[in-house]
Amino acid sequence: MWQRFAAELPEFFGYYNLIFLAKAALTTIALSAIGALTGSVVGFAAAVVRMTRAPLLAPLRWLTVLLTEIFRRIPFLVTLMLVFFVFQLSGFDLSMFTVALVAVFLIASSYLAEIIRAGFDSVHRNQWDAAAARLPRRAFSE
Amino acid sequence: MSYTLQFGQVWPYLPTLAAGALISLEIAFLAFCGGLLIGTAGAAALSFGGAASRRIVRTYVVFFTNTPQLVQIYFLYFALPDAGILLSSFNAVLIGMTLNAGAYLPEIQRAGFESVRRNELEAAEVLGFSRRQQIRYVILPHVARVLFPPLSNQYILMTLGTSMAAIFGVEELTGRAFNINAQTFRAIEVFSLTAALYVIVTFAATAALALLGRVAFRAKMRLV
Repeated sequence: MWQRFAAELPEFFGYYNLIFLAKAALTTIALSAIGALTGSVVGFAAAVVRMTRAPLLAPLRWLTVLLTEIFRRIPFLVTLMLVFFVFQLSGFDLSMFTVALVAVFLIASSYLAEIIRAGFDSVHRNQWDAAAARLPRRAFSE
Repeated sequence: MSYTLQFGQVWPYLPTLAAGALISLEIAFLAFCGGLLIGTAGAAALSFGGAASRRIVRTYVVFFTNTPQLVQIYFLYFALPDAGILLSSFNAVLIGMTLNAGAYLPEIQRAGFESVRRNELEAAEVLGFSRRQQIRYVILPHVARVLFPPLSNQYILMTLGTSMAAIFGVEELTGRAFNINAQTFRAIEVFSLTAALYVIVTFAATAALALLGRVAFRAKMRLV
């Protein structure tokens, strides 16, 4: 086995294979970077929506909770297939990269929404109270 | 474009899919138990081991957390036969997921073990607890309470991770969804039903684990 392995190694690490793999790696980086950026923006928005207390925004809060819970509980592969077929059948002619990006974005934003919410939750009650106590004065003086 | 959703063709497959969901849970459970064994050994090595064993565990963790699980299972399933080791797709997925879980769990478990504070042990000693009583009444309750929520979280994540088994032809939930899609060509219906089943199954698992954690370990766990 090792002899065959050694014999095939130079061919495997040939110029075109390396270029091919490097390009694929760039696609991976692009997918994760764009997905993480857009996902953190939307995830942050979702976390902020979940912190609101206004009765008027209650439906929006429920929708946010529902969407984050759903997309955190569907495997990536199934999300990808769903996104792919929904886009295909709705008639948008999108590249595979975009399809994958939408799936990454959906998953990233729901996971990040929970992570960011946990971050907000970790701010101690006293600190919120202190901020609330200070804020009006600062707002008036400026 | 006019595509009308027709769930009628897909409903008869619901029992097949539900049985597939049980297989997903089974794979996740077996891999989780195996990962827990590796994780305990790894956590013990990280906490009590010498420099050499710590380095081995760290290398293992870095290697397995920084490569995708899919690639690891690909290696087990497609590369090992070249070396004469033939694994069935189920076993390859199971071993791959176990090894992968074994890389994530040591750090979680170590954090749980080390969350027992010195003060607690000293207090137990002052109160005249024997070593066995300390473990039984101080260390284990504390560790269980701290460790249970992240472990159940990891189990849910692993249940979702089992969908990768479909790529290797294992007939779990996603694998069956692929097959049914190939038979009926009702892609959106099949995959939305599959997604709904995943949501239901993981939600049920979360609820059961949260209940167990609250009742048995007084862990702080919530559903949503």
